[in-house]
Amino acid sequence: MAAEKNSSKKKKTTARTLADDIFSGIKKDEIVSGAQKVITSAVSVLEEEIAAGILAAKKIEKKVLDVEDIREDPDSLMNRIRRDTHEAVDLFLDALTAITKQVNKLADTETEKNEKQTATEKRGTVITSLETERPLRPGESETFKFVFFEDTEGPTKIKFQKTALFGPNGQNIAASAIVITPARFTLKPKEEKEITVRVVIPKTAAPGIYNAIISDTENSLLKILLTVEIAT
Amino acid sequence: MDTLLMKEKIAAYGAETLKRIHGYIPDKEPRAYLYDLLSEYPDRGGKGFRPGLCIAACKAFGGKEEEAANSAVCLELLHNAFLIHDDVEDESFFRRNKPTLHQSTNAAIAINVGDALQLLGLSPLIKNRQVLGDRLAMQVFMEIQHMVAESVEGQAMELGWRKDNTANLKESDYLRMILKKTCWYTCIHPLRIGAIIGTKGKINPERLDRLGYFMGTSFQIQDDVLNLIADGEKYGKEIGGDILEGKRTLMLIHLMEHCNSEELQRILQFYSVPIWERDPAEAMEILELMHSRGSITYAKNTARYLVGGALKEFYTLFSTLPDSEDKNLIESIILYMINREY
Repeated sequence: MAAEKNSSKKKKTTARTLADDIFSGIKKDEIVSGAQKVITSAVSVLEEEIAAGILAAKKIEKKVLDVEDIREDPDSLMNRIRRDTHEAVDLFLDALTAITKQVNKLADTETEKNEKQTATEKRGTVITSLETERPLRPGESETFKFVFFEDTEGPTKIKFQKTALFGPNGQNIAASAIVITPARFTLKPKEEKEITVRVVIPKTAAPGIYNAIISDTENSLLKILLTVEIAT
Repeated sequence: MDTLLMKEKIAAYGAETLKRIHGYIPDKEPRAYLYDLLSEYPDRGGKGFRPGLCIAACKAFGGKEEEAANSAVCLELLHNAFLIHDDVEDESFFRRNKPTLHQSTNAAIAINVGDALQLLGLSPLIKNRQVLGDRLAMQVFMEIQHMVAESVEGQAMELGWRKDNTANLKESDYLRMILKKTCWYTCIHPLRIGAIIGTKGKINPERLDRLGYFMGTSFQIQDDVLNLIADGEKYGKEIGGDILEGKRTLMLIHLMEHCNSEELQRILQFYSVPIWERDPAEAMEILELMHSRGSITYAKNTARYLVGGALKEFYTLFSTLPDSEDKNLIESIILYMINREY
């Protein structure tokens, strides 16, 4: 413990020196406003470009890839989910909130507390999108598979809850039509877990686009948007 | 890690990469106008950032140098191919203190050598299958594919601006252009590829995007500043060459936004004629204007803010990794980007 304290103290001193070196010659009150403007502008450009890349990749994917094959391969599907995650998180949340935090943190790199906060805040809400590749007919079902990967240092409990599928004109399909396997589990550090989501469309379901939210009761930041199109 | 040690380490990774590059060059005819010229630029000794970042990221995330070596070779080969084509497109005279390849041969030969280097860049990716397995090798291949696509798109943006003598550019246009032209292939993808290999594909590589982006933008802005104010001998390219070439730098964009209409007309007139008709004395006047309008100071400060952003991203991403020489190396590279003189 003592060794850790010494180490963090050394880090604090180093960070202060680095910040002084980097920003020498710039007035202190100009640093925050200047940095905020530059970083905000830069991050916006990056996020726009990533979003444009995601859209282009999706178009190409639809043209050239066999969707059924991909669904059979959890790794490929996971990569898609990660891209979707990046799009949703970074476009709607990170770009608006983290930029400001980032600039403020930039001016405060000397405190270990800030460093730790930054590491956790970075994680943000994770919104993953699952959608049917083709409209389903009443009575048909579709299965989605994806993989959870734990990249934090401690174990994480996950327990799914789901809403009904909400469709057009106030119609909905009961949540029991969605079966998640496993519905609860604990992920150890670096562990991967394959999750299956099966949707069975009732024979009486009306056509239209239906949406449901699957979330983790243990972690409000994790949300999965499930979109199902039911054919006429 | 001090700058000297950082340079030694980068140089060691660069030397190993160069050795491997030589191993990929075919020993056959036609030598004089193709195969002997393939190592011309790599042998001139670049900074070796790309292979250095790739290998260091791989090792910092728990991998071995050998595992990232082929990808590092690919990055360096493609980088040199870009440089050759860049020099032709920019009509540059010097590269790393020697005449550019199209000056010492001709444009046709230089373009062909660049093409051959791009082709050669595929070989280490194929070899990756033996070292990394099919799945990881394919993931690296996809990274390279994206990297090249972004780079040529960025280059197209800049070439278009020059062709059209575009004057109404904003800072965001410049950032977008260097993100595409420089950042993906200089920093973002070398870091991503290294991390993918080091974690055996378990990391979400997008987590490294901002770090690489901030590093790349600060590197490019600093490079553009040095083109105007560096010691020519150390820098290895003609000082002020970017102004003559009409390169759309942050300083030029800032100047065009902040000069008066008469000065703007003079600048546009200067760029409306082909490069060989441009008067170097007028280029120096534009340089003076950049000084007097604060354009160079503005660019320097912007680069510093971006380095600050890169450091913040670095501490966020790497603080959970065990301390290692390679982790320190990446931190030192970030700092070097703002402190370098050439």
